[in-house]
Amino acid sequence: MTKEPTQEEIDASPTLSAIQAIKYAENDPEELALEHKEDGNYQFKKKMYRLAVKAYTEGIKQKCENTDLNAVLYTNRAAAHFHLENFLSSFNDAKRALRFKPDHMKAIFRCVDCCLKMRNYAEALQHCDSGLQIVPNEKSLLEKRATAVKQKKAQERDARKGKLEAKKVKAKQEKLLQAIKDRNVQLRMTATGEDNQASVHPKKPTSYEDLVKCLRLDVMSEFNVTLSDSGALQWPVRFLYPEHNQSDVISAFEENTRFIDHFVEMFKPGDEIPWDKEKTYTLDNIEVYFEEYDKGRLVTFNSENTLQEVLSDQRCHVYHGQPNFIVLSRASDFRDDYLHQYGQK
Amino acid sequence: MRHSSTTNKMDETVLDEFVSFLSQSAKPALREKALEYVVGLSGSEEGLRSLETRLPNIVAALLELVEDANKSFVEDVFKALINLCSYDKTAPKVTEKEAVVSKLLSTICDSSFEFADHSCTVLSNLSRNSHSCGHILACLENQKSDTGGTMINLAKLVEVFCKEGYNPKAALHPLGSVLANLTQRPEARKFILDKDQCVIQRLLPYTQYTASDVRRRGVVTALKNCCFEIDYHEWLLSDSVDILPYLLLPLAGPEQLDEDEMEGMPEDLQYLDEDKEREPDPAIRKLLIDTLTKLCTTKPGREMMKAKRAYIIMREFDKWERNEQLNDICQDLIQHLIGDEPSPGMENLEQVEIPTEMREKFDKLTAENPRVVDEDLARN
Repeated sequence: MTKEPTQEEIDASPTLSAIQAIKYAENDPEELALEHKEDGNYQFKKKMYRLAVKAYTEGIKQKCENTDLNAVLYTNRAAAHFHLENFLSSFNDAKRALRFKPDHMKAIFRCVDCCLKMRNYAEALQHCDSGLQIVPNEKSLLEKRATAVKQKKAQERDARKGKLEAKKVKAKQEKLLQAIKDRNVQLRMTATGEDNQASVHPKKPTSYEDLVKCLRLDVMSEFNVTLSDSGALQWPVRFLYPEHNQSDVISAFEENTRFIDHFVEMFKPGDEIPWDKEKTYTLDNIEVYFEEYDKGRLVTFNSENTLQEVLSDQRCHVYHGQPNFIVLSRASDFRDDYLHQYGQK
Repeated sequence: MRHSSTTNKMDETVLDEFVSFLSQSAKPALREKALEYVVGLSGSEEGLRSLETRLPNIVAALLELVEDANKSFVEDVFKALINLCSYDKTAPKVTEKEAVVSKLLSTICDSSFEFADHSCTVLSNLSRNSHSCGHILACLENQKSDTGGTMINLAKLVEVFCKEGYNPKAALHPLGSVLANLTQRPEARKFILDKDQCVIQRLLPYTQYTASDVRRRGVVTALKNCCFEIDYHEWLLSDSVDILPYLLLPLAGPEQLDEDEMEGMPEDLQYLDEDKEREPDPAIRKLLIDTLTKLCTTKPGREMMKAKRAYIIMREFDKWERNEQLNDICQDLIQHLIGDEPSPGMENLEQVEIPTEMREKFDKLTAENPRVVDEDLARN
């Protein structure tokens, strides 16, 4: 390997000085970086932030050894990213700038602004404090710090509030599940097999997650089972009229009320039921059934029973949190045909 | 009589000889023997008295030894230093030596010094005396960057104190006691309360610092001392500092408050966890209540505290507190927070004229002066 020529040697030799001139004009990384920076600043002024990012990136790629220039390139790219609302990229660039020049106030400001935008208040405070160590009475940093403290407190308060509310909801759900368990109500839900396909055989939910899913407590709905203040369950109950393809829903059927109490309202003499043209669905004629799923049978019961009495029958299963009952009319031929389909008479 | 005076004289000569061995150039065996002797003497009031005239020189000599490679030797050096500097009578004479204070400050701010906590404790013991505080503050003021390293002023001490993990080998909690002691002097308070800098704001979070009660007590004491500056109360309670929640939060418990009771309360105090614990140290609880009471001195202060519903927190605190002395001062505070405003001209409780005989009576009841950290860290 030959020795590097000294400056005197270069000055003395026209060849060497020519080579040096070329190298500095075209290949000097710092010179190039500087040019890209100027280009970036020009685009930035024109608010062409994407082009500015590109230009600064080219400048950074030169990997020149001037730390101040690198700090400026990163800080400027951070500014461009900030205007593009790429706050994370902006934040990362500002932090890189600080690695080149730890006391670069512009980069510190950028870090603080990005953290505030990203609602990362703890880090915002850290950057405020490191800035204040450099310039102790920097007014805008003092203000930003106060803002960060304030917003951090609000954020923490909201988190505490959310946690507390979630806890309350869970406690309420657990009370509800316990009430259902105490009454030995047979809950069922669709089971999913290994292939994620619904299985024909419904399953009995046992885990907390399954129970919540089965009773649809995870979706806010007015048709969920609830526990009243007096400790009574209120079920969303659906009555099906297969003859007319109709149904009725009572959103909160209190477990201690009897079926007949609702029927009196639903089949009030004189009130017209639009789909019951033949007027066969009257208090005297109607029969109410639940389906015994396992055996594929319909089971009828006396409407003087309360809902709790019916649901405590182990043959009566509640699917997805909603008890279903079938209503037929003794005065209609449909009843016999329908029961016949179930192999019953 | 004669007999005792002879022994005294003999002791004196022995003592002088021993002290001369407390130097880096002395043979390690001799040095250790001399140190052992000083540690022994420094453990008792009587021993300290016998060292009295030489004490400042001994402290200065010992401080030259703290960078010795023998760790257990340095441990003993600090044992002696901590004891010697707890002797209030000579503290001002010790702090008069700028070299002593400078050395302590530079070891505290040296982020790799293993015994920085010990240095803090020495300085904390020295600064219990107000006169010594004056010397220390003067020294902090005089520190020029021409000492080579960075300038060590009060700002630097606060920075070192607040920077988590500044010294991986020392947590610097006892520096809180130093800051507390220094704030017995108005010039230190003026710095902590500088409105153009962010000093007190950085100390505030430490009222909740569960990892060290020394740090908590130090910060709360400093805050209390700062509240003796009545003119700053409005600023302290404003959004710029927002001191109130930092004083109330350690006194707030897990009680679930109604939404309308929380209305207007600082957000930090809303929806506290069900396992929220109160400040466990009754002495710190007392300091917090004292500080809150101090902030009730002026009418705007009381009004701001009323608006932020400090009363609700104190009401719950009073129900929980079992220490009767604290119940008493808490109830006095509650009176300020719910009571009617005093008649015009009497609003500033500090300026209300109290008849001399009453004042004397009150003074006896409540000795109220800026205080220092009372812990006796010495005599081990």
